[in-house]
Amino acid sequence: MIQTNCRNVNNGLNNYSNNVSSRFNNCNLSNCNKSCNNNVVNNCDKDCNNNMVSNCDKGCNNNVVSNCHKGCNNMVSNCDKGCNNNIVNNCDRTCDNLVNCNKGCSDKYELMEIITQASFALDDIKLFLDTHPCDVGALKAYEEYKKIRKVAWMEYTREYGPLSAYDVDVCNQWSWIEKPWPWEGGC
Amino acid sequence: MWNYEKRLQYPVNIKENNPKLAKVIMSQFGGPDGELAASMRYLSQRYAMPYKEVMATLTDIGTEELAHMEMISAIVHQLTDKLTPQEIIDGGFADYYVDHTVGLWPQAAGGVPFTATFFQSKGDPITDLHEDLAAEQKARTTYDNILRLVGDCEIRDVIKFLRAREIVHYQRFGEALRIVQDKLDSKNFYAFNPAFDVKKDKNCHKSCNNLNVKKTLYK
Repeated sequence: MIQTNCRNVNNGLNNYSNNVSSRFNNCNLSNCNKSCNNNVVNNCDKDCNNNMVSNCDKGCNNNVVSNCHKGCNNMVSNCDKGCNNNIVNNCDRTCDNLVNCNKGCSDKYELMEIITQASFALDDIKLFLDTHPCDVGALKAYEEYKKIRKVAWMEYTREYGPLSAYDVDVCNQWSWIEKPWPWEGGC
Repeated sequence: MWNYEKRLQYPVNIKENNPKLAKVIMSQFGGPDGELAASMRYLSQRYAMPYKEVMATLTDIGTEELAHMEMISAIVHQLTDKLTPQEIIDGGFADYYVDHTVGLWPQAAGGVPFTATFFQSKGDPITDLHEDLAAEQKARTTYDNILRLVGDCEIRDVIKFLRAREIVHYQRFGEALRIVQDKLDSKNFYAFNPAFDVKKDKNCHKSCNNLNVKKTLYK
């Protein structure tokens, strides 16, 4: 999903969005901590290395990219993710040199499987830690699964919509209510 | 507080309706040893627990039981959602159907409605934890009974997962009981109820009950 001008959303969000954009518009900072859109940034943490990037979200290395979402090396238009090198149109994901590449249903379920399994591991370790709060092995395992889950969760939320009402991207309306709901069964 | 994650703890994808099975599995939703009863039991008991390990255990297991309740509800829903009137009659589902159509309502398989009398919250940590150990065994037995009646792999898979979780919960409650006993007088666990009789210090915010009350309060 390409985020275009999300900070221009009006409809009662003015004060909030102005505060947010004012944080980023003057992002002529060193040690800028978050993705610094629309500006020249030095030492920007989210991999906006060196050159001037516009609408760089993340991992837009070096060259000028427009609407680069992530991992878009060199010049890409409407690159969603993992569109290496070449110009790709409507690239959905990990589309090496292809046009209209779409990885279909499987990615969503693969991601959900990772989330389900990592979450369950955490559920189990959590109960053990409740009665053994100092167990180093369990604490390490917890940390490991926490990282895996976080990455998969964020990717799922970005690509397929929110799994929690606290993670809704309002650029896409109130996507929280979208189907399917978990008890409906699936593919 | 509770936040909802838009997923099931374990996936439920059932392809065919089966009203007879739905009636039976419904006991793990609203029945005496079902997930709703378990959840309400643990979430109610946690307030009287004086030790943080046990407060956490009851909170976390109580929360997980809500997730299990959701799974059981999903199973019952997927077993009944497209039933025709003839299938409802033939499946012995008509008595539930007339009051609830194919909606979900917490009751036992025999029709007994969910009630707080399915559980106790005695306010004594040792007592409550024994109740919890028993509750997990009751739930495990119920899942054993269900497994004898189900041949379908999709459903068996989910039931086996839930059954395994009951056994793990039993272990955790055993540990919680050990912790409570370790913190009490090793010569006499029953000397006092740590949820009620403990002498609190000057800075405590609650009314400070102690064992030396001389006046009779109930007039």
